Amino acid sequence: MRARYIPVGWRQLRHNRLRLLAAVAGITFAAVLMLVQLGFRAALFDSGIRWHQAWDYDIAILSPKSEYLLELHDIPRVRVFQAGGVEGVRAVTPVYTKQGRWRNPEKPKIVWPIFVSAFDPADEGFGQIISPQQQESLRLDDYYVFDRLSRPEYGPIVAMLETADTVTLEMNSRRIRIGGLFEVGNSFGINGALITSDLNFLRLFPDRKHSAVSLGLIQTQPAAVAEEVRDAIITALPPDVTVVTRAQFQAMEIAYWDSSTPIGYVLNLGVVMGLVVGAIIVYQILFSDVQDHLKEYATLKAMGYTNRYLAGVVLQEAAILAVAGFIPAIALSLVVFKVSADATNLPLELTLDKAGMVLGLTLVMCVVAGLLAMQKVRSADPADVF
Amino acid sequence: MSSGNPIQVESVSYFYGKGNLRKQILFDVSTQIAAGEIIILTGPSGSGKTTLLTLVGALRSCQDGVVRVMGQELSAVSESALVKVRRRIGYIFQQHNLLGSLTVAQNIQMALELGGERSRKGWNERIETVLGHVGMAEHMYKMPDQLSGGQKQRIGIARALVHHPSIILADEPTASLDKHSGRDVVELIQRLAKEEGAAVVLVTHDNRILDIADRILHLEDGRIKNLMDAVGDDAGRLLNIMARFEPNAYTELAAFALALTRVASADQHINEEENITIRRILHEVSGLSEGEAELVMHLSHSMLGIHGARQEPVIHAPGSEGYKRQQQLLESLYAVAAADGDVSPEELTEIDSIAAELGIITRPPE
Repeated sequence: MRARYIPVGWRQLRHNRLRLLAAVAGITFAAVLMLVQLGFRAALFDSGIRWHQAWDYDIAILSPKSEYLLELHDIPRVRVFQAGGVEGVRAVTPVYTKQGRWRNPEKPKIVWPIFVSAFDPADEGFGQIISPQQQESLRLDDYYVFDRLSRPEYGPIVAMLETADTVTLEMNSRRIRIGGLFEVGNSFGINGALITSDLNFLRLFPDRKHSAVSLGLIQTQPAAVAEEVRDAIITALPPDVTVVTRAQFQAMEIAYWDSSTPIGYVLNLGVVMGLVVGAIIVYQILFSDVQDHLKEYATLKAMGYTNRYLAGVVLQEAAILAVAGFIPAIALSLVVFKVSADATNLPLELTLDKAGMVLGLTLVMCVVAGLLAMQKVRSADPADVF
Repeated sequence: MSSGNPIQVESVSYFYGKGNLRKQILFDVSTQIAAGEIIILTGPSGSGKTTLLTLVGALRSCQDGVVRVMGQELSAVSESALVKVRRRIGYIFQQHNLLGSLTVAQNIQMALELGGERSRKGWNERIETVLGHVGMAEHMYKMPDQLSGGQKQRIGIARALVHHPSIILADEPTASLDKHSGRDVVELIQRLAKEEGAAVVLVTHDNRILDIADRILHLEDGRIKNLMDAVGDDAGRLLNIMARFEPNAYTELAAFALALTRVASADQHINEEENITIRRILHEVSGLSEGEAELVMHLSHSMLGIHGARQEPVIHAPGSEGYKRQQQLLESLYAVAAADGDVSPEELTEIDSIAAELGIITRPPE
């Protein structure tokens, strides 16, 4: 009869069930920590570019001083019109953005900042975000459309619009009407949003001038290549503006959140912390496992087993622990993501690439810990067994 | 290679530590161990027996001198060369040293895994066979912690033997066992080693198992010592201790032994049946405890060794080596008789009768 391969690493792990359980729990904890941090990090980026993705454009013009959406510096509106004359450009839309001070219609004492973006309804506009009828209605005085995904702190606007055509409330000490809904969603910087016309925008923010815009959105001809048109615009325009493609505009926003805000830093640190904590747990477990079996390992060495074989045993243990800790981590983080997404309206998703990355990190973590524990295996002296 | 002996040790010295702390453990040790030979390595703690065993077992590399194991020299060789030699040796440890997480069968399989066979065909049968040899076939799928100490040691032996090593090294295999299972275990090692024709080196403190050896190597302070010196030291020390702490019992037992020797050896012969009867008589009639009876038997046996070994007196031709030795013995007997300053007629008669018994031609002292 043929004997079967003996998975010594697995047998050693299985022999001490309590320790195996503790190890798996520790690794699960570390993996959940990493998954959640990565999840929030991805949510930070995904949500940060929601408007960048919702608007319909191929090229954006903005101030060289602008770093991210919530703080766009003004550029002369004429630059946007100048870009309209460049070959390959189909349409241009000057855009005004600013944070308004929203007063909750039910609890008027609560004031929340809200992201307002505006354009001339005669222009191409924002594309699919609002319907053509809504775009027409923007021409009305003090008429606004409201993001239905805004946080509940802004008041039950959606419910109120089910029973009334418009909701009237106060913003920046001015009475405005909400006459419709659109859907873009929140980010770490934006909790709620409004869209209106350029004229309503200027009424709301009297310090803003019609000739100074936050952003120019440019649509190219269907046959045109965005990069080529961008280069043509850069050549045609004075250097007081930055011209970027859609992809570049999104990358700018992500780079800002990733490296220029504490949030990005904290979440990156969270991933590293998860990795370190996990590695320490795995190292502790593997080390004490090796320590307990030192005599057995020395015996195996005396019988003629090599250091390399024993290293394989420890690495086998590390790999098993990694996978065994990872599987419950996936299940657990699905729950965490669901709960957090419901609470924050942030786009928290467990994607395949995130899972793959954390599995990779968990494996790396376990293997590194295993390599450290292996130093102990080397110290097992076969001459000591006698 | 000077000869085909599986173990050759030539002028081996070994040191531990460095600089001022450097301490010599082995001094110029030499021995040869043949295939099928069982060597017991004895000696007090710290005498270097374990060091010698680990040198022969390729668990240390040799510093000074030559250790040759199965034709492979072990000084100044790489770790991987040592590992290769280890795979051809069967090791039996003081404790069983089984892997607690593996079954009995898997523990034994671990030794087979090193043979370099890719397919594990027929291994289960081999494991079953070797377990049968050690009388543990029915425990094949148990975990080590379900077995007693003696059973575990048997599994350890099976593991050491399953790959048919030409050398078996055992370190205190009976240390953790009671008298009975210890005896079983060494007899098992002896029987299987003889069947396999393997050379066995067995380190032990346990005097009860010395008799299974073909040869005894006694190490003291890192040097091989004559066995008779060692036994003389030990036995003398023990008897002196007894004479000091239990003088009455000692005198009584010594007298018993002398009497017994004379009676039993009257017919120049003593057999096993007689032994048992004598032991019973000593125990029942004389009222000696078992241990005391045993001591009397041993003392008397050592004396009988002289009488019983020889059925007929041997006459050596004058001038031959044997003749010379007999004359030396006789002279020393006269010297002993004269030790109290005076040779009495009784003493002379006794010397004459001993000489007659041993067939020595008496010659009056000059």
